[in-house]
Amino acid sequence: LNKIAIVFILPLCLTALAGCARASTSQADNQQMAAEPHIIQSNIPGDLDTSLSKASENGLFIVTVSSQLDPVLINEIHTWLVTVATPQGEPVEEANLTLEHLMPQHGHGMPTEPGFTGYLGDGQYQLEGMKFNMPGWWMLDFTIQTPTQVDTVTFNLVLDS
Amino acid sequence: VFDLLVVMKIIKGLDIVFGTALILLLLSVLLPRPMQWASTWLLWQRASWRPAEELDLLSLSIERLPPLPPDPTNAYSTDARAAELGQRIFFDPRFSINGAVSCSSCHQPERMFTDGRQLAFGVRLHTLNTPTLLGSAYSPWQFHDGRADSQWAQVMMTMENELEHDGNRGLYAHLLAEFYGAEYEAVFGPLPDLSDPRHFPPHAGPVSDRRARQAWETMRPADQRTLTQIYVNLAKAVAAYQRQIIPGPSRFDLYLQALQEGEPAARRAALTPDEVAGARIFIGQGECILCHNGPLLTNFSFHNIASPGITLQQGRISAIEKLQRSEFTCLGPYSDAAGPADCAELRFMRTSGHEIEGALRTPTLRNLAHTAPYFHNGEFESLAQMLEFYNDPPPPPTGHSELRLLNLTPRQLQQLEAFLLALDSPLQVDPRLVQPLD
Repeated sequence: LNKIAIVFILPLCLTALAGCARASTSQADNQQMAAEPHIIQSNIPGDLDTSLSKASENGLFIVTVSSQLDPVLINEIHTWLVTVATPQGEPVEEANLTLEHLMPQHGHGMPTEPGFTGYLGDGQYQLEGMKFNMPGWWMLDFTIQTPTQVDTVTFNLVLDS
Repeated sequence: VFDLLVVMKIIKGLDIVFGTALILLLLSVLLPRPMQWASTWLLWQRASWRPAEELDLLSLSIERLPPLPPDPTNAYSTDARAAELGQRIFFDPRFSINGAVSCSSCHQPERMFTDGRQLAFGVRLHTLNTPTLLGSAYSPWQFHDGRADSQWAQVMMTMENELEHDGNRGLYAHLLAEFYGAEYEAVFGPLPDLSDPRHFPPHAGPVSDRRARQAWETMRPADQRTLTQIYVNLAKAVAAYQRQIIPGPSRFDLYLQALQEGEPAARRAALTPDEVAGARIFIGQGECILCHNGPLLTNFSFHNIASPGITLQQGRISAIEKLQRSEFTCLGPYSDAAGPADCAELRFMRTSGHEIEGALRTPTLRNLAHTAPYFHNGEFESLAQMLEFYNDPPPPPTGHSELRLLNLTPRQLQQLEAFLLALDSPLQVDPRLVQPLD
């Protein structure tokens, strides 16, 4: 009976071991793939609005941003253009613009203090000193102030490594 | 198998089904480690990187390092004769107050331009660890706190620092005239006659040494400017040499090349299973790539990681005022920059905010095996110690540390260390550049 038991159990165990190993590895493999989200893309809201032209919070302005470094790369200092128009499409000439910047997942902003350094006409404002030093989600909050109106607008940017 | 036979004996006489169940139970307890190994091995075999991960990996490739552009603040940055003069000075210990300390005393080529010491020792014991010069021409900022915005400004600060060379611009001008007059004049034009000590004292400069400082303060402004200009030229020559120190491909870069070209055998020859697992941690759970990004594995930016021994008032924040006051920046009178457009980094540098409190420059990770100890004060003797710190970082004294608990297992930490060691990147330079010239 013992011999029979061993003859039966041993192959059974080995088969089980092999099967188990295969199942577990592919499981571990898949788990690793699935359980570890991509670190740069993870926890970014799925419906994040990354459009580069939009109406400001209260609809007072249409704001369009464009980077002179296209596509935007990390670790490169460069210049942006911010174009401000009325909802009717008229350029906004005398706006005072400010920028706040933040990586919401890391609690810090850019390594630089970008500055608005000139008005180029046609509602276009030059923004120098833009630099992103990490891949991931960046928020750019602009405040647009004219002699009579003030409004804010937020742009989202997701950068590759 | 031996274990199984022992188990067989134990279950002798028991019901077959019950026995099998028992064995399977034992196996599942015994298995986790082999399972891990098998998993690591399988990932190595198949290189199962998702597209986003592959993008991350390739962003680290040395092939992505652009050719070094000329330094707009240094008109001599690509002048071969300037670089040769700079190399001679780099290895010449006469250029120090005691005639015993050269740049290469601390920046030793055989240690990838570091010194292997916890704290540097120039003329005196330093408070800081010697950073590597490797690839630093790509950085907009020099030193741990970035208090220089060019390599020539870095050289100037180092050679007059009382802990480092402890010299002064009077001394250096006389040494240049005595030993490298022809070489200097071939690049920078005629040296003035320095023989009258009433105009050009043997020791003079805005330094901590009392006698040299007093001599400096009694000099005519025009003579001061003459000495300063010679000193700036000397520094620009040394910078023209230093900027050539650039790393070449590591085994990791060969792996990436094989990955791109779809050559599994070359890929497996380049990195071991553990090193590949470490790369996965580097771009994943370890979050290393957030700051150690790009081909030099650094963003050359400043971060507060609650480094041991640092206070919030130290690091980057303490460099801002120095940069704003310095004559030797991109915007200063000794810069060769064409205009403010060349100086965006300085004009738009961060001057406030928690980002710069207690923040230090991210170092390159290439050649870590040769640049121990680690951190600005040489706190960690080994990579393993340093990784323990990152895995379970201390809370910052106050303020905002960018590190968070990683919870990597000891095995994962070993794999990460294995990966970091695979970043060993031999210098991509002419061998004559890493030794004193005849």
